[in-house]
Amino acid sequence: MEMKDLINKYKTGSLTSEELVRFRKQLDNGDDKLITEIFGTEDTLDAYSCDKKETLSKMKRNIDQAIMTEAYRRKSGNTFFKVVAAIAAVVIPALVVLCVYIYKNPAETWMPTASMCTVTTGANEKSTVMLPDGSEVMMTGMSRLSFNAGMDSICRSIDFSGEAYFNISHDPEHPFLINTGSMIVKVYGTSFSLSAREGSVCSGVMLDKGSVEIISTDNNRMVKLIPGEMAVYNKKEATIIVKQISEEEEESETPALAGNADDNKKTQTDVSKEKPHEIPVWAFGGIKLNNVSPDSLIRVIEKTYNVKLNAPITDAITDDFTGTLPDNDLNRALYILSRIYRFDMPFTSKKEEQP
Amino acid sequence: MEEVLIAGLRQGDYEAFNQIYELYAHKLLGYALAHINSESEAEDLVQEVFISLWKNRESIKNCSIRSYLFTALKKRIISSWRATAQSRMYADYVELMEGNTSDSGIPPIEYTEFCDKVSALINSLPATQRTVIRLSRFENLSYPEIAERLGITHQSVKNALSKGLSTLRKYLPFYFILMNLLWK
Repeated sequence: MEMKDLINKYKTGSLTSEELVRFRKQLDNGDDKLITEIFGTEDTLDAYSCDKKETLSKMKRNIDQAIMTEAYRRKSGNTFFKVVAAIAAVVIPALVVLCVYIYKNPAETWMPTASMCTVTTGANEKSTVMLPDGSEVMMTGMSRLSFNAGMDSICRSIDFSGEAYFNISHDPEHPFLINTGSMIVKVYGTSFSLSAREGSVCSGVMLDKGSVEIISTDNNRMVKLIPGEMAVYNKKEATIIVKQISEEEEESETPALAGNADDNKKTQTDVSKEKPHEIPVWAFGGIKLNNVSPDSLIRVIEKTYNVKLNAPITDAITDDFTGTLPDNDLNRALYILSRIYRFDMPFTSKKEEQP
Repeated sequence: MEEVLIAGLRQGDYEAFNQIYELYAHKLLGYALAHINSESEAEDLVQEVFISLWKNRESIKNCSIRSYLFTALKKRIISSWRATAQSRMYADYVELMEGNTSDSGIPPIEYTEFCDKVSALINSLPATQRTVIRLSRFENLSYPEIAERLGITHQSVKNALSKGLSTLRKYLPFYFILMNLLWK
């Protein structure tokens, strides 16, 4: 038996190079029958024994150690696998559902839309808007406010034209931005009046408390107001003038906060002659006026009630006016004026011109 | 008796496993030593057989433990022969032993002893030759694999190996003769 000889030679280290080649071939062929013949049956085991107790004990220790290490590894591996599997069992179906949803619904249908919410007020209408961030805007007539439907307490910005009293919730980290087109009012939490009528030469901010920044979009000029100050922005010249409200009350040549479209022809000097307190302070109810010229008084009433005052009244109003007029009751307002300027009520109001 | 041990083993009873070791370990080791020249390798093979018995304890059905252990050891002995016969180191050993005539004075040595001596001699070689020979003879890597591992050219591997081996061939016989003289 050649294989047996080769094995014996291999065991004794007496293989030649040529025999080694044959030995390799025989091993690679792996003939089971041949190998069984060489090794015999399992009963041949009884013929062998090695009673080196020390060696056997050492081997047993190695075996124990290997089995324990493997058991520990498998156990910890299983625990880790179980945790991963549990997480995967939750996360993967969720991701699959999300992917399918996104696939089925293109971005424009599932992403927060950029649609705008707009609130407008009619000529003789007032409206209080509570914005998603908790800020409150009290709008007067002919005003327009729009904000992103996705607006939240982090991204706070609105577009505004008209006149309103703002009560902005305080958040120093997320400024509230009011874009009026020609200027941006940056607010961190405050109360103030804003007049920014479309077509008006001037826009104005009267600060009640807190602080605001006014930034011109034309030349990026910026001013910061403190309580008791007001700012007037001239769109034509892109200038911002800051004055004390108390000074304004005394000086007649201060710029007006609101000018009508008709005022476009006026120069800044003309505008300056107008009284600042044409701005109705809606938040306090009624139209508060202080040393207002007859023309300005007539315009305020016409604008507030969207009416046209005729000769008998306009002729009667010849002096400056100081006082508060109701902003929601034309008859009462005219009654007050009739008592001051001495004109006859029945002939002053035209019913058809009332809204 | 064996059935009780099999039942215990399948249920993960380590005491049953210990008893099986007591019954068969000395026989398996005796058998392995009869077929494997290296004592440490024979011990390793028997250890592997018992570890595999524990790992596969649930799949051991009605066959006898003796049969399982014997078959497992047999397979490992053949694998060991194949690995040794295929190695370059063994080819070197055969080559050395082949040239070993009664005149040369080199005593017949076992392969494991040869490996130890070569290993000791290799340590005295220059670094590159030493590394190349270790990778080639002990880890059985090919020239391209060694070249890639060491980041040197194929030709450099060849040169280093050739130089290192010729040094070994030159000194090994003297080494063994010297050992033989000292032994006597």
